[in-house]
Amino acid sequence: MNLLKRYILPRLIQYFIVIFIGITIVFLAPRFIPLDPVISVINRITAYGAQYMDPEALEKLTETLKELYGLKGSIFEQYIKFWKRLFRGDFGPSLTIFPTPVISIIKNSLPWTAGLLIIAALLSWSIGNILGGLAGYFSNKKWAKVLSVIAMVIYPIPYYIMALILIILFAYVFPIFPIVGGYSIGINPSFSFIFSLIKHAFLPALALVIVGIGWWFLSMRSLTSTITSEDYVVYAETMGIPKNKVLFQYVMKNSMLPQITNLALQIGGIFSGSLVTEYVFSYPGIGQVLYMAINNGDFNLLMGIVTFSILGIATAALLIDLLYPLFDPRVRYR
Amino acid sequence: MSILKVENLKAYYIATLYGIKRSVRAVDNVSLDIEENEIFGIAGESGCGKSTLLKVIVGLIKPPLSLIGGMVLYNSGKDYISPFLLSLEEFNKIRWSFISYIPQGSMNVLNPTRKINRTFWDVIKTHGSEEEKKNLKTITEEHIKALGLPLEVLNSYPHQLSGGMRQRVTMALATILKPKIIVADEPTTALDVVVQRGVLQLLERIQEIYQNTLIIVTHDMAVHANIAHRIAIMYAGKIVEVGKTRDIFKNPKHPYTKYLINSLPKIGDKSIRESAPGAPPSLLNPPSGCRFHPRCPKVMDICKLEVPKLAEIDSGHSVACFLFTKEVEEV
Amino acid sequence: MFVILKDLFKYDKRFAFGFSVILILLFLSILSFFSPYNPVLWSLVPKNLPPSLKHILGTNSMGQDIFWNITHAIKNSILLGSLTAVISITIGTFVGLVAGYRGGSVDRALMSINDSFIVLPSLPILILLSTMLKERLTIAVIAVILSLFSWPWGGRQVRAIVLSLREREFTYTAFFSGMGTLKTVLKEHLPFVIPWVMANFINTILWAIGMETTLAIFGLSSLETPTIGTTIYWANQYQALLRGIWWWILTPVIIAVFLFLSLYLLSVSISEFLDPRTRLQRMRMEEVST
Repeated sequence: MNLLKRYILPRLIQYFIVIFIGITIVFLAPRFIPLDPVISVINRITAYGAQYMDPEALEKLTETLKELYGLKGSIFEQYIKFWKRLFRGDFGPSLTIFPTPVISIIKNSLPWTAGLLIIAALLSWSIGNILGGLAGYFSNKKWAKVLSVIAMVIYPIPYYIMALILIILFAYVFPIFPIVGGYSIGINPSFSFIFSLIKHAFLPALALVIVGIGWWFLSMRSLTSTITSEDYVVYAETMGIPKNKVLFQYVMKNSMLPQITNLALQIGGIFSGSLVTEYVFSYPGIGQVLYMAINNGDFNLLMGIVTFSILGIATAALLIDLLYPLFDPRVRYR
Repeated sequence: MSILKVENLKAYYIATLYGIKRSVRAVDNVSLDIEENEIFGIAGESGCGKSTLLKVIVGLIKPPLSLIGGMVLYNSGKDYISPFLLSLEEFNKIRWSFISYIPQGSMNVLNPTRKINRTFWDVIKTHGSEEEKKNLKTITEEHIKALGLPLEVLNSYPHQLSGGMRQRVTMALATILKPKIIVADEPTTALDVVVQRGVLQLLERIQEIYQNTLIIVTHDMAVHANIAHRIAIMYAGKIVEVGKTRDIFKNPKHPYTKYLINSLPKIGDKSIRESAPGAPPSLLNPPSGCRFHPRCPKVMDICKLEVPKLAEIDSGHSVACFLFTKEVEEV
Repeated sequence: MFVILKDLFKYDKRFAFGFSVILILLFLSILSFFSPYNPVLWSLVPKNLPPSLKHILGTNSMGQDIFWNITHAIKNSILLGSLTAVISITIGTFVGLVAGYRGGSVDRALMSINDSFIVLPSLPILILLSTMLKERLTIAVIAVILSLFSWPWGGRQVRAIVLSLREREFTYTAFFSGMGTLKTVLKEHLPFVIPWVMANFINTILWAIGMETTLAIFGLSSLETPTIGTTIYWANQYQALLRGIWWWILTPVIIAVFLFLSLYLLSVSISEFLDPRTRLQRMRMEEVST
């Protein structure tokens, strides 16, 4: 009960604030920008079709588009409507793949992104933390120093540049992995399908994992070297408790805790990275759809994707936060 | 018969930072003899090297602290062994079963994410005999009961206990395998007076039950007066006076000891307490000769040049001061 | 100040490396003012020439000299990063100071907004904003948009510093000796905050350049202005890699890696220098040597 009030409730409130701020930005963005999305869509239609449209039909189209974008009425009414549509999951039809609803396009590509993101996040988190923990505890060893230098070189490189480097390496220097697509065409769902899936996801995931490991490694190393000088670790060593036990039960167990909170904070950044990586490797996830939406000026699709990202990331962050008390007795019992 | 011997011990902190190499002479030529079943106090201002001396005594020498010279010997019953000469495994065998250590700020030495009984079991699993390992649960519970602590503490996490209780738990942890020597560093600092009393009583109780040797370091002379049998006074990395508690308090010899004793409040005496003029010297480059000479009211010429040797002037009472001895310490 | 830089340069290899590389890159960006070619114009030189004495990094498919183009790109990227850093640090410092000094519900409200921006996925929202502004994107506009997501980290840090300073002894001393709040903040606290702000400044530049590069990949940058991001964008548009014009794509990628690495090493080295534990040790050392 106490836990609920002291820990869970503030996080739930924070969750709603995040969503409120994010959705409001999405709502305000097209309204405060001098560009009128309706006119730009009409321009696009007339430019593509190059066909003559009589003024009456144009007027009608403008009206329906305004309705669609929720641009009717006062800004407050629009805002209420915007939320109502959101609850129904209604983002209107996609303009590129007319009239497929935006929501179903997102539904199709979401599993790809979610799969890539979860695997990449878990792999980089655990590998980075274990290596970083070891390097922090054995900071005087040569291998620890070498690993730190490697991590320092990798960490500041943006996902996009890392993906490009991997493409240059694997497509031209060592052509082992396919550099585009989600799976090979014409393969039935079977073992070879799964194999194909893994093979195609390998490079995008690798780009995410490499950069991710750099980050987790460096933050874990500095956390661990702080924890290593904590009184309880020094005393455990004084008591002559075996090194392995000290490392895992006394050092890592405590330095992992902040990394769980950090995962909740970083999940948005990892998601951003996976969007970019997907695009670079033509992986059929949200990132690819996003690129299509940008290129075709498909505002509906764009708004849908951004809204979904905000909801998804905020929820993921909340779930990680809610799991935290399971690991930290200081939060669990008070 | 002495259970622990310290001979001409020198331990310095050596650090290099941004290209400058410095050494801090925290323990400089210290010799001690500690008897079986006694409570031995080491007193001195903060920064005089007393905590470092303890660390070296229990074999905790980690960079930047390094051993420069001298020897520490434990009397194992048959012969003298030195923690410096043992392999890590051999040393692990005697740690906690022969000598154990209660560090400064001992309320923070418990792992915040581990239940307290797990830490006790860790210790027994590491150092205990096969017999003890088999009965680790009962041994832990009986020990806690014997020290008069509530059994519930075993099933708690450290943050659920008060600071004083955590300190007592640490003392129980240090004594779980009934070591011959217990070394405690500032066991009462950062506790309020009532809790201090409880902690001191616990220490006395442990000493009574197990009949072992207790070495206590604290700057608090009142604590020494309360429980120590013998006291050593440390100043700037050196022992300046050793004697029975009674002798030290009633009949202090070294000018520095006199200041220490005179600065204590006495019931009924309302005069202003006098303390030593000036500040303790930096151990980075201590004064020449006797290290107390810049602050000493009775300074002589020889004090600035030569280092006085700790010499026995009464039975069981030794002083390192040229007012009482002409012996010069060899460098 | 100069002595500190000299010490860091001498004893911290990371600082020495980062500082040297940054100096070289700054030198390159200054060279852009002496560029014989206008970076905006196309077809000034023969197309797709590999590196040679005349064009040391070759030319691209748009008929531009890659070396001179990259000098402009470095300049513009650093400019963009610094502009973002100035804007976001101003906001962040202000929010952090207000939250830290006012405390209570003001602090809670500001920090929950602050944290929300940290959790929100920045890239999709930035993509939305820059798509809407596509026709009007300039370096300055991009800097403003990027600041939306870079201020909260600084805000958090400044608040944490203020909270620790507020409880220090000298704050009470200043307060009880009749120094006004504003004067206390400016005279006693700002000197503590400024070095942290510097480390944060470098981090923000790093983040902003990376983000602009990412946005540019999607074609959401000021495409006529050469930056490291747009250079990569155009190289991709012309399939430089596929057509074997490796000098076109490799140049901005290598420059980017060096720029990010050197900025990061500088910020690490400065933060480590500011770490109170090492600082204390150093102060003791100085005491001795004087």
